Amino acid sequence: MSINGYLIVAGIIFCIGMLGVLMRKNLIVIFMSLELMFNAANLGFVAVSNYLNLIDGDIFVIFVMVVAAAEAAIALGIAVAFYREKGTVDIDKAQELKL
Amino acid sequence: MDAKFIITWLIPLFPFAGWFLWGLFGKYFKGYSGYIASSFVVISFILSSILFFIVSYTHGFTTTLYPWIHAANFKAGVSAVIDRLSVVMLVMVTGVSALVHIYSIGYMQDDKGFARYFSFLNLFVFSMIMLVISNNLLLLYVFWEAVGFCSYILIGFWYEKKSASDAGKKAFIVNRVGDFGFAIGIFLLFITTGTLNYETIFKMIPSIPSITVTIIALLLFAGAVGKSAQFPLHVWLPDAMEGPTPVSALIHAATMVTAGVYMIARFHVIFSYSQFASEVVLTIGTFTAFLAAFIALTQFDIKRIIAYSTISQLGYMFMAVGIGSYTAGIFHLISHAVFKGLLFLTAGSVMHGLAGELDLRKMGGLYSKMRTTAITFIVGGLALSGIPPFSGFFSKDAILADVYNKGFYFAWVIGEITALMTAFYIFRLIFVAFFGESNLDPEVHVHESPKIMTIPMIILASLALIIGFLGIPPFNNSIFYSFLHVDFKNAYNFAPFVNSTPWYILSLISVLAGLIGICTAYLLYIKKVVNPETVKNIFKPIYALSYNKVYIDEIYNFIIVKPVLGFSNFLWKVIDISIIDGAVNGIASGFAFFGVKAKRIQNGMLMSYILTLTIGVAALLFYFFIR
Amino acid sequence: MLDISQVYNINFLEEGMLSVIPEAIVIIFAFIVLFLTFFEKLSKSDNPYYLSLISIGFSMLYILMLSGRTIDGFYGSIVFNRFSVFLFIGILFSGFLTILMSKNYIDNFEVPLPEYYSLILFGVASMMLLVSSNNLIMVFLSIEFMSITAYILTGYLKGNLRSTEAALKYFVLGTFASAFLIFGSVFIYAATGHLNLYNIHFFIVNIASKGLVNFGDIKIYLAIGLILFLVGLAFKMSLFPFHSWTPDAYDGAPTPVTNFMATGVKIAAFAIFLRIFSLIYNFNIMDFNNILWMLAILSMSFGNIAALMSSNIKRLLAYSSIAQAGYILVGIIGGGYYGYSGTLFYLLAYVFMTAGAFAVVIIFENFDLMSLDIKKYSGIGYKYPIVAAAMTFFLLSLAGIPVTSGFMGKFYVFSAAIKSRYNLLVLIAFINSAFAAFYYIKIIVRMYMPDKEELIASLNGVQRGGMSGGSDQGKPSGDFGIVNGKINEELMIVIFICLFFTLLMGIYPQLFINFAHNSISSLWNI
Repeated sequence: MSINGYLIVAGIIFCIGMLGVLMRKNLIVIFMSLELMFNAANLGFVAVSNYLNLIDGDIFVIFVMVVAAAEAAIALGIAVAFYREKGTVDIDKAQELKL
Repeated sequence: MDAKFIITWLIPLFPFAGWFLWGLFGKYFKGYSGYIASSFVVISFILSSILFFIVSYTHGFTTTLYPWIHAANFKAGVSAVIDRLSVVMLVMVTGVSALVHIYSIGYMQDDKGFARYFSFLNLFVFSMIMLVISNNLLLLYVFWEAVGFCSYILIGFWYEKKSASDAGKKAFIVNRVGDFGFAIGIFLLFITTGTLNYETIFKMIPSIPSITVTIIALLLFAGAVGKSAQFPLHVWLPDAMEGPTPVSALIHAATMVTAGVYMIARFHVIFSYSQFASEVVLTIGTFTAFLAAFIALTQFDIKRIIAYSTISQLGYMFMAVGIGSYTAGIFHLISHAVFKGLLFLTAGSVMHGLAGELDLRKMGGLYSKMRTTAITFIVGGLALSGIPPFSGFFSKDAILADVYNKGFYFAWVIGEITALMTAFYIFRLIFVAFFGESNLDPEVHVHESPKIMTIPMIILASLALIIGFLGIPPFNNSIFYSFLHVDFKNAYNFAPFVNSTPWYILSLISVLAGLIGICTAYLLYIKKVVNPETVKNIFKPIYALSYNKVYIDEIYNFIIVKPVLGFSNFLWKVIDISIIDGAVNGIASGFAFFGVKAKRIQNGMLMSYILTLTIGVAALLFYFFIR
Repeated sequence: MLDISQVYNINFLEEGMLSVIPEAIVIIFAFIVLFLTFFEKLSKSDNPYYLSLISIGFSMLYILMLSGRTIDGFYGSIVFNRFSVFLFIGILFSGFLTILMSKNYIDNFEVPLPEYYSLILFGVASMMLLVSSNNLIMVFLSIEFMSITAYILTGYLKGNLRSTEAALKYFVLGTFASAFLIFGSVFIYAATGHLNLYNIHFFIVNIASKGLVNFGDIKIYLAIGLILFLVGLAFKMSLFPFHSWTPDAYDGAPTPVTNFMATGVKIAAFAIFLRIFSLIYNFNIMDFNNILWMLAILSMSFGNIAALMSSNIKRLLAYSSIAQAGYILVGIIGGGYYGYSGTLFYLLAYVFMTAGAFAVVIIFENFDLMSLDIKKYSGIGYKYPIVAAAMTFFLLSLAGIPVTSGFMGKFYVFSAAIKSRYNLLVLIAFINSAFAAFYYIKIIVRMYMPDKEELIASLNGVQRGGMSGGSDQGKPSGDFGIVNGKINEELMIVIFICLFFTLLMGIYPQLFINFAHNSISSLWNI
């Protein structure tokens, strides 16, 4: 059995997340896409870990989930702060800093 | 820790301590800072003289304060090379500095930046001493930039005056061009030899391809052209006269501007190895000597006249080092430092007496009112004109005789013509300012300067009388030559003597040139045989050319500043930029084009940032899979 | 069956815990500072500030006690060695200087104080963990830990649009880059089957010796993995084209935090990259040197050109930090004993010169956005001579002019690259730094040779700030760092520390380069 299939699926999910970040304007959707990218990595870790019969990949996944949760908290905090300032969560409205 | 070590490092230590003291605690010292600063420099001078005798009676040495950099197989220490060349320079630098410091006490008396002035002046002396004694290029470069920094600061000393501030900036920008070349030259030298120590480099020079040596020498010379105000980078020096006059005397006549000549003399092995580079030095020097003297003929600002004369005399020095007559170049450097320092100090004294007046047309008949100033000025003028027995005669003649005897006839002719013009412009200044009818502003109360200012002038005037006799007997038998030439024994003899015309014939021609110049000035401005105005009208185009400084500033404005500004203006209008305002200055705007690109990348849109990042990732992956 | 005594024997508790004691001290103090919030009396005064400084001091003390030892902790996930010691000192200095310069700045805003200082301490701890981590899990966790504190600190000025926007951009881009980092780890894991850096190192040495051709899939996995991982790290090092967060985040963040990001984050990111590069990337199997070569040149050129065009001093320093990242990378590319130690030297030098420059920025900053314009610096050479002289040295150091630490850093880094025959790279870097000198010196020129109009404007600006401030609902008036015409003491301390080290490292670099040599020798594969 090959690991390729799993990694390709993980790669596709990762790309979907990446495209989501690239194409969407809504901050919340972007955060969701970022989560998707993390989860693609999780899928890859679980698959590889299982394939190689090792455990550290699984451990990694747990840590990634923890970190993702922490980041979600930060993300929503920033989103709320941004919404308070601008009244929207459209990232194109973030134009204060440029040049 | 032997005596040599201590003496050597005490010399720079005193001015350094001075800089520190006046810089930090200037306001507590009040007026005393001037006296203490001067005494510090005087101590440096005494120590330098001791070192001079040590070296004359024993031999040169190298002393290391501490090892500075020690990487892989590269070593550079804070070390001094004390040989005859550097002690001669040391005595000159500290001596002139000491006199200028003393003079400044009187000159700057009522200035509110008194302590600041002495702090920077001390920093300058420190940097100049270090520049002279450093034994590796890195250290040299550091202090090369440091003396430049002091110079810009002191030019713009009266920063509230727009012209002073602008002159400082101009000096800075023009010098950047030369120093850029200088830095690249050092870098190339480092890449090719792997070291920056003089001794090691000199030993390795023959094993380097001559084309590389030529490139390096030319790049180093670019630095000298900037610092010593040679054509085409001479434009900053006349403007630098916006600074206080003692600064002009010290930095822009006696010491810093001669650093370029000193540098070439120090690197004589490199320059003499590359004949082409030396010929470039000779050509630039000759041309500059002529050009500057030509411009000086018609100027009315007395400080500017002397500034152009400095540029012209530096041209002579470059002629000398360009033909491999290093001792002659250094001799002229020393004697020029004395008489040019004298001329500036006396010009300062005139300004002092006339409440800051600089325009020649508003002077006249000053001889009776400020006798000491007038006499010392005339001594300086005679020295500059090359009239025996003043120092300029011996030193300039040594150069011109060598130029002739080494077969550079064209340069010699130009040199003699320049000598004629030199005598004319300086005596035009003397006759108009000190004799003839007075055009003074009746409001001004003309007065002789205080003793603290006249004594340094008198000392310099007597030196201008004495110092020339180091140049006898003529040619390679002179005291000065036999003292110094041991330091240049490694130079390649690329320009051998082809003639052996006796010295008295050549001297006669030079003296005649000088006398003709003086007489012409006398006939025109004292006897009024012909009205100067008529002469002016006859030679109108030439007069205009000279009066407008050969339009060089305008040319630069036209070919460099305008296009750069124009190009950015074009970008401004045609391509949509509404963002670069303010950032446009000089060379910076040349980058406007790339700047716009850079700003496109950094446009504030999160989307495009993510896109940039993604493209970066894709490019890296792509690179791997096509490989 | 797990035997507790056996665990004890493999020194998990004794030695393992020892490896994180410096971090643990900082974290414990961070919690203490955080808990001060519950006691209103304690948190209102300067307690959080002093506690933070003390914790840094304690941590530094422990590092000095442990220095010279090599301790593997947590089953090889954390390695404390002389390499870590050097960088810990840099990071702790960065934190220390940041806290010192925060005091005055943060008091101007109505934001909770204890949390701020505890976040800085958490940031310091995370950077230290990152530097000593030796396992992909640890690398990921500490990078995220560091990033999260940085996101919060960037957006710390509540109600300030610029700050919030900076945090938003930084967060989205940072998480995006982290996703690449972790996805890269997946592929590295898939190729090698290891997460420990040493094991990955052995694996790569092994296949490198056998030739890569026989390893079809593994080769592709490794390539993808290493590239994606590099992207994640390059983002933190702000190399072009992964730099785009840098100017905006630096610009919007509170200035002490900008300093923290510019010094701490950068030094930590470079340190871990150096460790990983020396273990994993530095093999001729995939010529990563070419990639880094291009990244270095692009970074320095972009940074310098963009900095030339900026007139906002914080953005200028941000772009300049991108360029500096390019120069530092030259040292890593040059490689070897001298290249790596030069890199460490440069990083330490960079901490001091940047922190000094930011301290000067804080002095002259106020609520008016124009206070960040470089026009503001016109004529300060005559008004505040000591600050101006210090700023001159910091800028000269950033420009790489001799007798300053920046020059020595560039010198070590470039000469190592020359030694490895990267002559073209060094030539480009040299020309770049010669051009870069222009925009640094532009500020110095302004300080000492002001335009008359600008001088008047800046004088008026000071007065205007002083007068209008009173009516502006109780906000402190005038520049942040100047109270009654006197410059704030904490900022002066920062400036003096930075100036001292900037000059000492330029005038007597031997001390520091020997230390760096010593640290590097504890790295593997030198």
